[in-house]
Amino acid sequence: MRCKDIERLIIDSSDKDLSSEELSAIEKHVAHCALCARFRDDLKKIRMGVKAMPQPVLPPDLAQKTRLRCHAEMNREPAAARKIDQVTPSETIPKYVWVALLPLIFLTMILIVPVFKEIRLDQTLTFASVVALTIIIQNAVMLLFAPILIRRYRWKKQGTRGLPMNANAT
Amino acid sequence: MENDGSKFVHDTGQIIHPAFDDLYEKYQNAVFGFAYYLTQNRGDAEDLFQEAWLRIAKKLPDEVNMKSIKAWIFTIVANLHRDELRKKRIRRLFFLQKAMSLEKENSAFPVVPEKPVSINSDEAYLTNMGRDIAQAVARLPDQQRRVFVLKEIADFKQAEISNILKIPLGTVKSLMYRAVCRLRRELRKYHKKSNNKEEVKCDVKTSSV
Repeated sequence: MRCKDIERLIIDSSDKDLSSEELSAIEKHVAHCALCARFRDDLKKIRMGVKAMPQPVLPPDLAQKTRLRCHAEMNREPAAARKIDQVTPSETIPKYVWVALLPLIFLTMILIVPVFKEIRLDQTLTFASVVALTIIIQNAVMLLFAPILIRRYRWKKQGTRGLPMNANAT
Repeated sequence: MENDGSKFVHDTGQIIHPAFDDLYEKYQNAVFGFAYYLTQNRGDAEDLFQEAWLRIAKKLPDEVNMKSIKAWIFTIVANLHRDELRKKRIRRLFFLQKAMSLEKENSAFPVVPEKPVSINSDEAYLTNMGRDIAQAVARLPDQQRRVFVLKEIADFKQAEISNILKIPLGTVKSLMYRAVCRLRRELRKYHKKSNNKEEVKCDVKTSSV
């Protein structure tokens, strides 16, 4: 074994899950290798020093304050969960949104056909195609963000916005 | 008093959580110490401490397995710290935190004031070494420091650290080795001077023969 492997084993030995062969390999190696013996001594000293390290002291008022906040959080959780449950059933997208979205989808499908034709025939894009493409991209963005905006609006309206996660941060 | 898993409903209607209180009593100092060594800053450590315990309170399972709970608690602290570091990195990217990071770089490791060296030479030696090691640990790169603190201060095995930090065991071992080598270099003054023995790596010697 190389010195580096032995040094790694010396570090691992504190986990107390080395095999007897590995332990005897360390002993055998350290007996004739001054560098590895020094590594072991230095590690012992570092560990001794770690025990003597100044310990950061937890301020008692912080400990007390945190405990109270945790208890408040744990007692409030069922109420918050109930509120969320009340909101969940109405979370489907309402009909008027679908009514608005369906023509947009339909329009997009119609507009996209000539654009594809032009691209396929390697023709230069006409002004009309560029306008159509812009509308398509706009519709795609709307389709993507509509559900998110609706959901945000609902949370805001019902006064439960950010309750589950953000309440912790304050 | 009515028992409901990990909590009790008192006759007055107030819910108390003995399992949480036991955990809090047992690990509050360890968590704060870990948070302090990770953040290297009292304000950040206090924020991380509070955030971690709130997360623990929120996610505390009904059945608390005391064997694995310590690792679970430290995983939460490590994850929150990693998330915070990511956010800071993004903020720094937009030059929003330049001043703060400079301030942090200037701050040393002001845990407790330096003890006077008069008492007893052995005790003074240990105190000084402890302080120097604390400063050397503070200077370790983030990943090495995280592994070193978990191993040597929080007393986890390397396999457990691998689970806590969600990195391969080999990486943990390698980070730990690099941390020890760096600490050895930085704390050279406390280590024994080389004696008459020839100190050449024996594997190098054998290969040259």
